Amino acid sequence: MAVVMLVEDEELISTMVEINLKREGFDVVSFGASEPALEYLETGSCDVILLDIMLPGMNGPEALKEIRGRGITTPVLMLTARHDLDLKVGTLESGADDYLTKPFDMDELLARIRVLLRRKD
Amino acid sequence: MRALRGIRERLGATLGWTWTHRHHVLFGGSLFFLTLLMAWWTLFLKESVDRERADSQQILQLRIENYASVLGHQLVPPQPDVLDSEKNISLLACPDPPDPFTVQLSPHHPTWCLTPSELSISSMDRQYRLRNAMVFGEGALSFLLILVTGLMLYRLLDAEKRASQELQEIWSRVTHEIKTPITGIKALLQTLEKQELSPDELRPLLKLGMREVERQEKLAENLLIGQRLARGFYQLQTSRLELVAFLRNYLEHQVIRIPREQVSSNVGGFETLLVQADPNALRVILDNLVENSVKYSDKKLLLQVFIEELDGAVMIHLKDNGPGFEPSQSRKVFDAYKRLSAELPKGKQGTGMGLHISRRLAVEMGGELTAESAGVGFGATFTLTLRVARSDPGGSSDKEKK
Repeated sequence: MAVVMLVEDEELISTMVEINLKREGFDVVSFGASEPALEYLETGSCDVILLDIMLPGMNGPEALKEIRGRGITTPVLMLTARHDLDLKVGTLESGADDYLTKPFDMDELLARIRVLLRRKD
Repeated sequence: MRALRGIRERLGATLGWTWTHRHHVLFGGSLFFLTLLMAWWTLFLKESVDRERADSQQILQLRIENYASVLGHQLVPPQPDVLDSEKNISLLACPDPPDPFTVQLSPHHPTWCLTPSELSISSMDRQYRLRNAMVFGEGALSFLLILVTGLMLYRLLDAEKRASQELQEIWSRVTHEIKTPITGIKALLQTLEKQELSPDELRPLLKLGMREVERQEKLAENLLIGQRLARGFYQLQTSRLELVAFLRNYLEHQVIRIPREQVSSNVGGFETLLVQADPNALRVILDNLVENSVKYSDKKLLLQVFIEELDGAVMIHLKDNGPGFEPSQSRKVFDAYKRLSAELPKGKQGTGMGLHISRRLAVEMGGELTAESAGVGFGATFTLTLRVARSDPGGSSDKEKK
């Protein structure tokens, strides 16, 4: 069963994404900030990472840099409400595999996760 | 066009600037070009003055030669008063050796000569020196004017550019603040559409959803009030307000945002306290202050709300255990659209309008809103001061303490 790591500080979004992922048969590890997520990745693993860009403490792009810096190649899907083109391009260039703008459709999010998993396989 | 873009990009890469610096280049270029034009114009005018001077000297010389010819052909020797009407020409004995500026009175009086008078030469020199000085002075003044105008325009353009960037950043923040609650609510509704949830599962989700709806509502309210205040359209309905009942009711409704045990208050120690306030504006101020504490708290929030009456005013203090700020920033926290991002937990979003609007509303009600903090990591205290409402013009306050 695929494991999805969710890093999102907005409680309602995080809860709803988690419920939907579980319903679709995924295992979910959820964190409200980058630091505990990075700590988890030191020993644990996952198949896809959903990473919010605006996070308290270390933000999404910084966490992504750290993840790629450690040589972790797990597909990363970035989530953000911001539309800035520079931010999107910068994020993809620093190692993200996909990008989803809020407010997103739950079905689209699930479809993109499946695409990333297929690509990984 | 593509080739031009290529050159532009290569030039930018070489010089280390991006094309967003183009207004610097345009201004620098224009200033340089105008300065060159001004220098050329000044030199052109100076040349004209010099040519005019040479022409004047030549005319004088021709006149002298003409007089010398007329006087030289007269048999009567020239008398000193013969040239009284011509102040620019002098009659004198011919110098030995001959002076290049003197003209002999040939053929009958070769010992006498005509020459430009000292006065005419010095006056001509002074006149053309003055004109040259005027030309250079005008050139320098024009250069100064170009420089000052250029600098002023540059500053204006730079300020405009900064304002436009700031506006873009503000809209980006506002968009984020609008979209984030919508994302949660949309996800909740989409889930409910597809999935049956038990009442126990549903209750906390609805509570979270409600909180997001309220967040959205407050954002819309702040945007609207901000616009109205900026345009001077916001009308306050200030009246006598019973503060104790108002605060009790308000705090009761905050349980949706902060658990009851995390809020302490001395409001219960008062029975009535009449103040001059607009209940809606007061609610907006308190909402913004509480929201501020909730949003920036990076640990378990502890909020103290306590009131006191002092010198005809009532003060409502809201003290939190959040990140606080440097004491020197206590006024800056109220600046419109400004967020003390360096001091606040990174990644926390906000429009930067809440505190600015709150302070303006407090002032409009005849009160004040101030902020204090002992430093980063020591929490913050916001104090809202309101005027006590008097029961009669010379009477005492309506306050009754238990």
